Amino acid sequence: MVDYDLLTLDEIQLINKAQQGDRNAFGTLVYKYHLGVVNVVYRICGDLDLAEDTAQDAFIRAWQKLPNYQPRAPFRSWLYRIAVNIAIDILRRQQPSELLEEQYCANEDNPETLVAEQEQAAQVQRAILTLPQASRVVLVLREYEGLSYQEIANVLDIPLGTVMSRLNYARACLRNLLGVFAQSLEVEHA
Amino acid sequence: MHEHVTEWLGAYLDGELHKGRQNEIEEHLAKCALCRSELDALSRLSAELHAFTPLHPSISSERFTAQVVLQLPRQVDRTLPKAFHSVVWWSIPGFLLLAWAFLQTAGLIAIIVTMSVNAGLFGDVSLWLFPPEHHWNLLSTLLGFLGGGLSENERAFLLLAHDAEMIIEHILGPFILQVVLGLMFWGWLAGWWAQHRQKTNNYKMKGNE
Repeated sequence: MVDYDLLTLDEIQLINKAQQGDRNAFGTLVYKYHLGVVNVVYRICGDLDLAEDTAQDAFIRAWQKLPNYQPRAPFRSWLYRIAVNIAIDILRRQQPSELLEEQYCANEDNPETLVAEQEQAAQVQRAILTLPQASRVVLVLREYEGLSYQEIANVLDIPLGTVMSRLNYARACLRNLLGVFAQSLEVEHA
Repeated sequence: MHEHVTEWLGAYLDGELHKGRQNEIEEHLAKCALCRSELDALSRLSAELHAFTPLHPSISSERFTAQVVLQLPRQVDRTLPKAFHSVVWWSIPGFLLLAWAFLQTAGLIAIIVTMSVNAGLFGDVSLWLFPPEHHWNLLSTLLGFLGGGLSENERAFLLLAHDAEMIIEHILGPFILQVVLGLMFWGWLAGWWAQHRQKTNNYKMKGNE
């Protein structure tokens, strides 16, 4: 189904082909962005299975809206916007599910380390899930997908200053939750 | 900058500040241990957020893609609108040029015919090709009937109106049409240039990923 030759094709050409109904070209785009979309939805909703189902819905909706896509913004931003909107709709309908520590991979050589790291990873994700939805989405797009502030602003259709303030708030909350504090100020007063 | 810069540290860490602000932050950080500690804490937070990645999704990307593609709804003749739009877009300058050529040809033929008529080449046929302007004769006859003849001013006004009509019909009209065609052509060219620049910028944006 995935045409690996198309992976080298310029993304604009892929999108043009997909807009003309080429399912193989669209499949190549799906393959390229699969993990990113799943990751974004997972970080927002906290359930990996739900994230995979939601990612499928996001891609199908992207296919339906593809004729309306204009290359004014990167395709990734446009795609993430669709995925984030679906994830937010899901959040409104249900509470984040219990996290399964097994969803995290870690050091498989040492079982004790594995358990500890899984627990720590789950703690991080639980902390993220406690954030207000608006701040959580901004944090996920920045920290886990590496989108620039402008790209985040485009995806969420919010001002640049709002991106920055929500990110600052999210980081401040997470620092408190995860116990990441500044070093002692004794040096300053010495 | 004397006060602390903690609100800018996140953006500084993300590389989102412009050069001027970045230099200000760096100058402040060189002097302020508190802000340096805050920056360090933000770095550690980012590291902790990235320390563990979730297990790979339960299905591979290939299988996921196959499932998605199988579920894609049928597209109903999606190609036509885009192809049609493309054909229409690229036909515009052709039609504009044809219209301009038609105007030029019609004007040229009119000049040739007028000169021929004035030279008497058409003889009696010219009466059929260029009938007297009845509406002017009727108007002057009517005015003469009503007013017992036209005064000098009325006659001058009629002649002026007649000349104005000639100018509008034979000179100003074609001129305006050509200006409109020219503007439409330049408008199309500007639209093409804007699209071309947008595509070029998108290629550049893609290169930054």
